[in-house]
Amino acid sequence: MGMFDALNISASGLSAQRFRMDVISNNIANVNTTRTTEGEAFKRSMVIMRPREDSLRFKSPVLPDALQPATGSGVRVMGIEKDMSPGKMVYDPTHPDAYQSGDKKGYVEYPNVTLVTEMVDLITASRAYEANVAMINSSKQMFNRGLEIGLR
Amino acid sequence: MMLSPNQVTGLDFQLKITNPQHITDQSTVKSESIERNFLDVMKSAILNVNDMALNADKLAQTMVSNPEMVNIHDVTIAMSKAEMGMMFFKSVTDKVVLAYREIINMR
Repeated sequence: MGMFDALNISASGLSAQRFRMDVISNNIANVNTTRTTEGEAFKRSMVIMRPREDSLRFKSPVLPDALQPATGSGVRVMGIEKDMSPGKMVYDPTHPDAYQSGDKKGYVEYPNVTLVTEMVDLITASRAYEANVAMINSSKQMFNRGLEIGLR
Repeated sequence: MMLSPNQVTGLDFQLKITNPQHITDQSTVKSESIERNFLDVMKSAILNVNDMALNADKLAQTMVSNPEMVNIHDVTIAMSKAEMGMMFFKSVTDKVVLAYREIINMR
């Protein structure tokens, strides 16, 4: 319970949402990328988030839950996962990335990025960012109100 | 009890741990130590607040010189922290000065 705990927790949320926004913009930018270094079409990435624990804690089976330290310490980005669902297939034999043989001959695989999904994710990311900013502002306000105690 | 050779000088055994509580009498708190403690506390508080301000300053400079390096919210949060620390410190010193005035006006 420190003076800046709420600030630090919200700061981790802000960083995580910024990172999510970066990943979403990368998805949108690669909406037409039909070939990556792995040799196939671009796959959209998703951000995996976990609660941030600065140190491992021993959870006592004897103590009641009310006595356990319950406040977390924010969020951290655990990693980026690829969405491996198949992309959209478009018949375009003149495209340099079209399949040259097999039953998909002449088809181009486009990324599995859907603009609608990405836009919805973008809005949730920016709203979550705003919520964290509101959290910071109100914790600052609370601090200022606390300072007003005993003022003459 | 085993003793290493460098603990034994002649016939005298050196104390392994020199705990001031074993030597000096600390049962009564002297006003000198209060004064020193208060000074130390205030000094470290000033240094803490100054560190926060310097950190915010450094981040703001990095923001201008190398915008790729820092997030804008890190800069504003560092500034908020510096501001909050400054306000807290100011209210504490105000209280201290007020107490000092109260004592001065006592007659």
